[in-house]
Amino acid sequence: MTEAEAINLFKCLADKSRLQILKSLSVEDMYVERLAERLGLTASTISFHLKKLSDAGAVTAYKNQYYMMYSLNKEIFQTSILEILQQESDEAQKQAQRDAEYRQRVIDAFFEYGKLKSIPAQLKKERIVLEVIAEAFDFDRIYSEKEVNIIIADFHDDFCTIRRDMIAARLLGRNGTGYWRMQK
Amino acid sequence: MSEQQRKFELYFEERIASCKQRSKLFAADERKDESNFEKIRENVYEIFKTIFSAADRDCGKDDLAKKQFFLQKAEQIPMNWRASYEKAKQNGDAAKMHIESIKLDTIREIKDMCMQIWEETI
Repeated sequence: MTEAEAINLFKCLADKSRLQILKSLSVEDMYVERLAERLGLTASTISFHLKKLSDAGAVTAYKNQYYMMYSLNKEIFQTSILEILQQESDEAQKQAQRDAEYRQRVIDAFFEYGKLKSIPAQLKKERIVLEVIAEAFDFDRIYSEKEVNIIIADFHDDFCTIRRDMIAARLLGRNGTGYWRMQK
Repeated sequence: MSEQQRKFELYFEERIASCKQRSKLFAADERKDESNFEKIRENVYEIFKTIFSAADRDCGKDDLAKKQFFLQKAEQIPMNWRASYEKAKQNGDAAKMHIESIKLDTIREIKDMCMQIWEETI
């Protein structure tokens, strides 16, 4: 289900009459007049709602003798909301671009000639700053504390705070043997 | 103001108030489309109430002329609605058909009421 289809379906479901129609169809397939009688609405109002439900893919129609029967499209209702949320968004590329622009703005604001001017107070900004510093470390290499301090000191004098924050942010790992850069 | 005129105006006022009331109730019951249908009906009543006021202004005290002026407009204006309904029908657009049929049903009811009120006394 695309994002546009999901929006259309959710809009369509946000109506009591349509929900009542779907509830009726979940019991059995029905034709317009039967639904009208059951729900106390006019046949043309039912047709109006069925058209919307059909456009949203919530119901399907088939001919049975003289009647056009409507049935619930069970497949669409078996899709979980989580699956819809996890679908690649049409907006994903734009969001990634906005994120990259934001990241660059933070870097430009906090770094000057490769030096960190101050440690950001906001966690989100600090995370970006720490990621930039982490790039100075190689993967698959164990560093001593002294080496770590020297690398960080190239960026900022308060290497103790930054070192601790990098460990808390899981950008650096640490055990008895030393420090290493962690994979994302 | 004649008796028929008073009756007809009262009819419009009652219908408009009733549509407003039902529209609110539907909206409160999360039935937005049905609430909008009531607004469509209300609009039709409002349009023809205004036309009736124009008839009153243009035809003076001639009640029969007022009725004729009104019924002529009640034939002319819905022509577009009828055309729109037919077009929707050709394209299988049930949603549009329903909206146009609400307007057409409402004007049919207004015309019947007009005839009824004037027949009663003429």
